[in-house]
Amino acid sequence: MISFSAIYATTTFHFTSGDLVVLFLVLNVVAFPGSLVAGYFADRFGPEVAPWSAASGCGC
Amino acid sequence: MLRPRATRRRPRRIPPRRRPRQAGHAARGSASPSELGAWLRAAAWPCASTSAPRARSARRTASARTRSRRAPDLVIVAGGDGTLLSAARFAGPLGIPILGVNFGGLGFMTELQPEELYTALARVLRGAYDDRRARGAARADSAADGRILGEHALLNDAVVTKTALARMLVIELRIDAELVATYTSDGLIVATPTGSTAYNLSAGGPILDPRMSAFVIAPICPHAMSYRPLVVPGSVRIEVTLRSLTEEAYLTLDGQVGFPMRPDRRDRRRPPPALGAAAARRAPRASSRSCSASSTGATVERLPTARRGRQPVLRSSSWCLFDFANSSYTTLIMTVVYSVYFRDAVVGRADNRGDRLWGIANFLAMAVVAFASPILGAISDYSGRRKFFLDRDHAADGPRRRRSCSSSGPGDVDRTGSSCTSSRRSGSRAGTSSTTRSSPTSRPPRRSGACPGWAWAIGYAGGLLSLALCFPLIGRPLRDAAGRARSACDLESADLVRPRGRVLPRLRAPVLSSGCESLPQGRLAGFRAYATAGFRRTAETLRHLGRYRRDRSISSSPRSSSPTESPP
Repeated sequence: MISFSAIYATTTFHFTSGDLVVLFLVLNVVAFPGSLVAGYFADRFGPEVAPWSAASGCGC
Repeated sequence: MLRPRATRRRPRRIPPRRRPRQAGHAARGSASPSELGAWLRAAAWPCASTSAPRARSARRTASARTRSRRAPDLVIVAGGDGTLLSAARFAGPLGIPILGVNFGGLGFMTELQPEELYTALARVLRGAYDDRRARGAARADSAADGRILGEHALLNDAVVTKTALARMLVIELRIDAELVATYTSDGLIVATPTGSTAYNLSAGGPILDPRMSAFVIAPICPHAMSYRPLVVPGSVRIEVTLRSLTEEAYLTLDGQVGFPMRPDRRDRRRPPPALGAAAARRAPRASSRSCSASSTGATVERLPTARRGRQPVLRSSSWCLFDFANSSYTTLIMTVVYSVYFRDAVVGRADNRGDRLWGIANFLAMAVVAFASPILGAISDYSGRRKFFLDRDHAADGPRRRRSCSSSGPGDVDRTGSSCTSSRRSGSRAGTSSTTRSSPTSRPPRRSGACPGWAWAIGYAGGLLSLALCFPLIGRPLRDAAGRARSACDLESADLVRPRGRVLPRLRAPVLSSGCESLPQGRLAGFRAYATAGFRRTAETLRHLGRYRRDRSISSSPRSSSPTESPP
């Protein structure tokens, strides 16, 4: 899915190269704290309950 | 405790060997802490000393130094076996070598006599000392009702014994979640090879060579004659559960710490708790306690390579630097730049042929990694060459291949799509698999196989950095698509691969897992053995996965009223 994401964006949404870079910049900016938070919950509560813990924590 | 000094490259002057001036107590007096400290300072090794009653503060000191990245290089224990076991509880998990000098009554593990100290210490500082006697180390978890209560380093043995009344206990033994036996005995001993000469020997158990990666399980005065001591591989997970409903028992680790045990009244068909799923909390009153011991692997490396104290966080972060550099390739080249360039410029067809070829190239790369990883993983694990394989993965994904990506122009479909893209993608994914394989040694055992979240964050940071660097090149209009791709590939190859090439040679290779002694030597025999081990490990993983799902389905269904399992 990741390998085809840029192709999908250019074909369907007509992204230019600059738009693609901005898109993945935003994705990485969001993914960085997201992986930190989800990783903390995974280490703390285990990988099975981590998504629910992260979701409840973000909801609060 | 010896601490590393900032400048370690200049040759050290080893003080001349001192003869024991007198025998007996006078000779022992020559190895006093003050004289030992003066001797070490003369050899340019700063040291700190502590006394046995302050062991708790010593542990705090070691922990603080670990946090400050100044862990001791060596712990010299002057005392008996009990003192050494006490020191091993905090030095063992940090991977700090221990040199024992016998000043106590029992000196099985404190092998050096005081008059031998300086001779042995000079060899240690020269890197010529290799002790194979005390190597088996383990980890013991105390658990209650499926919850892990604490983790404890284990050097000798874990013993379950009765307390006050001379009545037999009923103890259940499981190995890798399989029920092995239900002992009716006075207790049970789970000993490492180092501890096989201790309580285990008195209970009739065998002596194991400390170089072995194994456990010996010995019942204490069993009721049935058929229950004999059992030797199991060091890679297994042993779970001991108290099943007696009335008797009280005690769990003792290395004769140093103890926990009262209470019977476990859980359904016997319920699978044991997954180590990674339970939170380690201290329960005020546990209804049951069990001890699960899993080997951390025999230390195969020699002492000179173990001078720096092994620090799990540092090791883990070091290996994650590969992902930091590798993400720049995955994000920048494979995702953002080259996929579109490949479809539009290299293939250049209006139909979906470019998308199809791109998918086939990625599929081939993933298939190669999926089939080759078990064998390559087994070879790297058993031969202890993880670092070598990571370097080869890097070479397969190297700068020249990346530049060939940018040099491929319109019409180079076959060369680019079938070979270049697949091989580069394979190298990248194999490198990621190599770093993941290092997790058993860089992560706590119950977190093994799970990449920490901050490691993923480091990878995303690498992708973010590469995108930010390439934004001026890709974002501004160039003459053609090939120019953009070439600029991105050259920048990625030149700027972000170099740090990886500099970092990799300086990384410490992780400690090996068990089993490296058991495989045959020789090039062809070794490859066959490694391949067999790799496929066997894959099959074993699949079997465990199926059993885990089956056990979970059993535990989620309504339980039967009576246990159905019986010892074989």
